[in-house]
Amino acid sequence: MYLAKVTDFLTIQPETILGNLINTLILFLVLKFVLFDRVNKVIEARKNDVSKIYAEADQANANAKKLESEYEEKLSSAKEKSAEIVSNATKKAQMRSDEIISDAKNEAKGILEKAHGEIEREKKRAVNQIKDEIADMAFSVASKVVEKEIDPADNEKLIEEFINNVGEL
Amino acid sequence: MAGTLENVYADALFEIAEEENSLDITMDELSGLAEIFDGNPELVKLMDVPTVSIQEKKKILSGIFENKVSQTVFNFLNVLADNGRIRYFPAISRRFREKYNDRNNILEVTACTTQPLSDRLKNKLTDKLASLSGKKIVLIEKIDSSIMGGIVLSYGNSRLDASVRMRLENMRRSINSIIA
Repeated sequence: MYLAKVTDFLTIQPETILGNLINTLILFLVLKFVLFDRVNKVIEARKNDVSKIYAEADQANANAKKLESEYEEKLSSAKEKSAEIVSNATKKAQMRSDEIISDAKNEAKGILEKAHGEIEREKKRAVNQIKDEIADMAFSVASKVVEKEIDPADNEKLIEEFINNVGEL
Repeated sequence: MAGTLENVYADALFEIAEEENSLDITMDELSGLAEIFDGNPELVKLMDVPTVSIQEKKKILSGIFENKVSQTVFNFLNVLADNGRIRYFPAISRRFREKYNDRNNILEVTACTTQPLSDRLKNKLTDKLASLSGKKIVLIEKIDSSIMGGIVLSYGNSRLDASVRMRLENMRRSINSIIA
């Protein structure tokens, strides 16, 4: 008996195959309804999530790139500005130093001129002094000469000339 | 200047002499007295000595001058002695002379020369001065060798310097004024 059942069990019968097929189909249908749909949903959801994440990541990347370029711009403009400031300061310093030098040159010129003026004045003063001394000497010599009494006739002439010429009292 | 002491005395004496018509005499006497006081400074000093009484002083004065000068002048002297003003006599006499000259249109001119003026020049000078001033000229001559030559005239408060010394001085001054 057992052997008959076992051989029965071991032989392939078409009703069994059909039965199995129908079972499989029913199983598949049930699974589809119970499992596959849900699982697909989950997979869909995951797929969406992943897409979303990728999209966000791209966005973040784009933002980062934008920020980076902005930063680069700011940096370069800052570099420009600082270069400008430095060049201005340098220019100013150059002007200032030129100013100082020209002031010094002018002052030196002024001092020289003043010194020349002083020398000229001293020269004039000395010349005048000598001239005055000579005049004084001439005067005393003339006085000495005249002191030896003028010729009376000349004296008379002088006095007469005066009397003739005196115009008012 | 009417307020000064010499002016007061001189003006008073002048008025009196004018009234008496004795201006000329008074003027002469005052000049004479001035000369005497000038030549006898001890007399003037004596008049100022406080220990000698006024009586004594007046006695001395009358001893010298009484009957030698007019009564007016003598009285005047006594007034001066009474007030101790004898030493003001020169100034008083000067002021009197000023008024006298003014009244008689006289101009006193002092001519200073190194040698005495010849008569010819003297006359020429006085004539010229008279014609210039319109007054009668009284010429006072002075000799001063320091002027070196030429003539210096002084009258009133003015001076006309035509001396050789002045000419030399002017020359020197004009050279000095040249600034090289």
